[in-house]
Amino acid sequence: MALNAVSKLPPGVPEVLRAAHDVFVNVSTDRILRIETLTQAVHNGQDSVPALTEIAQIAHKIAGVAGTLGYPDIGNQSRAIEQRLKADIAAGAPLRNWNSISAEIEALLDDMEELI
Amino acid sequence: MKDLRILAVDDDRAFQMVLQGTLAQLGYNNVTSVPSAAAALKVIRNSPELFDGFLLDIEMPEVDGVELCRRIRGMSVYRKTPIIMVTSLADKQYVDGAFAAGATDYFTKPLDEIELRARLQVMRQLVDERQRAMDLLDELKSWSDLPKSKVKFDTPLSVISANWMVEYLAMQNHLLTLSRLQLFGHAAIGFSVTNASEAFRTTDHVGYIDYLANVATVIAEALKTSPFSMAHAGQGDFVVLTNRTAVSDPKSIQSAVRDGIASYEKLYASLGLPVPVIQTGRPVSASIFSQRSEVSSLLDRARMSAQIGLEEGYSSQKQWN
Repeated sequence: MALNAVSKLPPGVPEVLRAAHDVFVNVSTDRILRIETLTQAVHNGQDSVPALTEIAQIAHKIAGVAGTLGYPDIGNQSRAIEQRLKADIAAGAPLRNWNSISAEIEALLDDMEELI
Repeated sequence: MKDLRILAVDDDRAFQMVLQGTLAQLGYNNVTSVPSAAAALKVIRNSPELFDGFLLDIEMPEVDGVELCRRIRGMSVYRKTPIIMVTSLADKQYVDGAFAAGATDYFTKPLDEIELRARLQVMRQLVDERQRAMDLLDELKSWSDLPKSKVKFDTPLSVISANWMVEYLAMQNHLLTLSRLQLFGHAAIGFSVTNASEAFRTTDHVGYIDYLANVATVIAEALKTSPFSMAHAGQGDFVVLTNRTAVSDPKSIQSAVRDGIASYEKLYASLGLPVPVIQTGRPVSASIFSQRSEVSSLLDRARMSAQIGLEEGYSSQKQWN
């Protein structure tokens, strides 16, 4: 992962969070690629629970900071994906809402791509 | 004011930096961040100074925050240190487990500066309280006869010689995290030592803490068949949080408590202390439709009921200091 040049801070984000913002933006490329790989694995019919669990974990990390770093929409989308995936996994029906969740994931990835 | 020495544990580097930056803005600059439970345990073991508090992310790979909390609590030096859990909304169901593992409080991601500030104020209060308790313990060990200015009759007091008890503040926090359904299964019951102020005046602070510890032990004996947590709320009042079914017969609990205390009468006489007169209150529960304000007053209502007492027509007047 190569570090990008120092990015522009979104309005309202204090300067003290610049380093955190830059880390967040820089890991986004890897996260997008990883989520795409995992999503593809689920579409291909591989064991879905480990892949969905990992997507939920990545979404958890994004949701934890995106809003604070000036990207509330990305934060909200990630949180919704995390909650829905965890609920379905816990219910023993990991794929029952997969069609709609994968559409949400696509929308999230589109928004994240604009960051990088 | 002393800067709190805080250990923050989160496996996301960006969140660590957000937390550290926000804490710095709030004036907390002595923060160590590590990415895993294993790294945290290593830092704790190798640290020459004790940490004043911990911020633990619940969701971490391998050893999660709840297990880390349990392991930190297992270290005698950190038995009373504030541990604040950090959780996402999706993981809120794990908060109860975290409290069972010894957590003091929690806040949710994404970080809200006002919420974080409030949680850290709670942490500071607990650190101050702990420091006060440690000072008292030192005095207890030396059997000194120093003035009891540090012990206030009215405020919650750490009963250091009954270290299985929880802080009153931690009990209040725990209550506020329970879901309506969980809350419905709980009851609070109060025990009031109506002549505690007399004991407070009669003995020194060390003696008073031992006096309270003995009362706590007797109450615990009376409740021993059920899991519970107990805190001292000040003024010689104790509050117990337990299963609703465990306290369905408060009269028999009161009777067991009084019998337990009676067996110590000679001891109290030899120490020149009044035999504690303990009133048991009626169990207080929240309804399934309770508002948040009613939940936060649950412990107060349990105390009040104990101060009034179970006996019909018997209205006890608390001997205020």
